[in-house]
Amino acid sequence: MLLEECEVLSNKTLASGLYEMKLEGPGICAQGRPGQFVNILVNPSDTPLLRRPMSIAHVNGTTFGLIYKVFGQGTREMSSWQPGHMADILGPLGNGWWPTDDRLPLLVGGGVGIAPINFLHQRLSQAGAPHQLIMGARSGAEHFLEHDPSAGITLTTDDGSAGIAGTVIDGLKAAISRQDNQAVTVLGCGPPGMLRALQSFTMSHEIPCQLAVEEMMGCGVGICMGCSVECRIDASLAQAGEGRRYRLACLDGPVFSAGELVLARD
Amino acid sequence: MTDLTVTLGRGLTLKNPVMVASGTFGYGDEVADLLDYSELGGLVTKSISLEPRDGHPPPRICETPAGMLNAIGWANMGVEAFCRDNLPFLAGLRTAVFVSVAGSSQAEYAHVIEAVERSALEIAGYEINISCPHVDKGGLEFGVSPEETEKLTSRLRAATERYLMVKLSPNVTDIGEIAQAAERGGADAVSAINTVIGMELDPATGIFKVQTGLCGLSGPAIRPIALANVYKVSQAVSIPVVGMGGIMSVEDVVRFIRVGAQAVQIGTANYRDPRIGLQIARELPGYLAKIEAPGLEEIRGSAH
Ligand SMILES: Cc1cc2nc3c(=O)[nH]c(=O)nc-3n(C[C@H](O)[C@H](O)[C@H](O)COP(=O)(O)OP(=O)(O)OC[C@H]3O[C@@H](n4cnc5c(N)ncnc54)[C@H](O)[C@@H]3O)c2cc1C
Ligand SMILES: Cc1cc2nc3c(=O)[nH]c(=O)nc-3n(C[C@H](O)[C@H](O)[C@H](O)COP(=O)(O)O)c2cc1C
Ligand code: FES
Repeated sequence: MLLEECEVLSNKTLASGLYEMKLEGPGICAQGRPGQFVNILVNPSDTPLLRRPMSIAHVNGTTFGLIYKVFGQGTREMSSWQPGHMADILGPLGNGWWPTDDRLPLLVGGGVGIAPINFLHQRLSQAGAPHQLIMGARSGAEHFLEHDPSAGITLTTDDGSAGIAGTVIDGLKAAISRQDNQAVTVLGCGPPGMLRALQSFTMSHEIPCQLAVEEMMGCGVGICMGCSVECRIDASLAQAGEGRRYRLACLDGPVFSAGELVLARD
Repeated sequence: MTDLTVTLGRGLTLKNPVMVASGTFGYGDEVADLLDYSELGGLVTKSISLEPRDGHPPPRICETPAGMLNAIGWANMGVEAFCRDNLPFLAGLRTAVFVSVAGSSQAEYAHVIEAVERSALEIAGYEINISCPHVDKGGLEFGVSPEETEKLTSRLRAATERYLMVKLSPNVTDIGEIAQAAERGGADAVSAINTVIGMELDPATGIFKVQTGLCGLSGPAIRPIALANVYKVSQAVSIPVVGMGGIMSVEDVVRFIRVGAQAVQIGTANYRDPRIGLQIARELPGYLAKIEAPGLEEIRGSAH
């Protein structure tokens, strides 16, 4: 973890409603792993008060990328940053996806969850590690990759304007059907509804699955206890009494094993 | 160089008046990569209870104009794990460490202190978080009643020879009266303020932004409230007052000193930058020189 002054190298529209920012950050690049995030100080004045968490979307040498959607004040301000702007960034934070055994990784990303999934895809590709990538969006305009199942890239859209019409679960089923019985593992990130669907699909098919969650964050480094994530507990930790306990998205996650997550809320 | 040391009584001297506040610096070691803790005047831990506590369900926090709301629910690992896993690190720091103590009965507060005392590790003392619901009093906070505050303080005074600081809530009718009760109970200092009761919701759905609905506001939004409370407390007691609430800069620190604070704590600002406390401590001599103040003593309580 380090605080780095990062120069914005570029900041452009990547697809409909999506921006991509490239920043110079040698320290963050050297340490960052897929699933980890950075925490960005948007403005040196008091507003917005808190940093904004963003996943690392790719790393090339000493340059890292963010892929983000404009939601509110913080991301709107970030979208106006010009090349040369210096940003105060804390990272890399959290734990990424951890290596699996010899199962084929199926990477599933939706919404802004495509950002960390993109980094995982990049790292596995560079390592020559076989994997499949499934990305979901509402329409083709929101995608920035081409649908190319033979190259391991499956896109899905709600409106059918690109790739497979349907959700990432339909894309996941298609990708699984292309495997000849090879054992698979699912590594995913996306909005709450998608995470719930991935959790129930993988649990009912007994597929190991690791999901990255998003939670409101006050600090990103474990000092506010604000980013609690509800988890199932095992008997040895049952002192909480209610059959659940909270872990911290920023320290214990954001990647959790799907089986331990209680995903109740939208 | 200006002398920044602060004497707080009971033989305790801080190297500078800037501490970090309870619940805003974790258990202590989380951000050790980012700063040298020995440059801080002091550090107050997350509030520790006797048993581990789960805390409240998410969402626990929400940003508001110039502030944030929280309802963490005293989530903490419990004093046993704390003494085993965190206290050795804290005791090794070259800064004044205060363990923040939470409880739902007088006995629980006392047991937490006794457990820390048994560990025989060196810390400066304790900050008593009296904004905890009292189970025997229908969940009413200790800190809203002068009688309960005095009884609790004298019970804890008997449990330790170390520094005892009582942290006051602003959500009371007369904070000066509560401060005096802590003083009568034997507190070495009072600190103020804890968070201000607040609430935020989604206008379209009516859903609370923080799960508990009622929660605590902190950050620059509460600074004027905090200054007024620290001012009142300073007038009411003769023991040292440690001020906090919305401090973001060296100017804010000096504001608190001028309303009577002996030292200050930085809370929410740590989330923006965990180094802010030591940065402010470094800037303090320059700022004092700029306003032509020879030292902290000369400006303390000078608000008029
Ligand atoms: C680990 C992690 C990784 C993330 N990665 C990405 C990414 O790669 N790309 C991307 O576009 N978005 C990502 N997000 C979500 C992003 O942090 C929010 O969209 C952003 O903080 C919104 O800020 P705002 O000021 O524009 O919105 P506002 O609505 O004005 O924000 C108000 C407050 O809510 C917080 N907040 C709002 N939405 C979220 C959210 N979903 N998660 C956490 N805090 C939120 C903000 O930080 C801020 O404190 C990630 C979130 C987390 C926790
Ligand atoms: C997320 C959060 C958690 C907190 N936890 C505690 C706590 O455990 N014990 C305590 O005495 N105060 C706690 N506080 C209150 C702060 O220590 C401080 O009194 C208050 O936030 C006002 O200062 P600030 O505006 O600088 O943050 C917490 C504050 C925040 C924002
Ligand atoms: S965001 Fe503060 S503890 Fe996780």
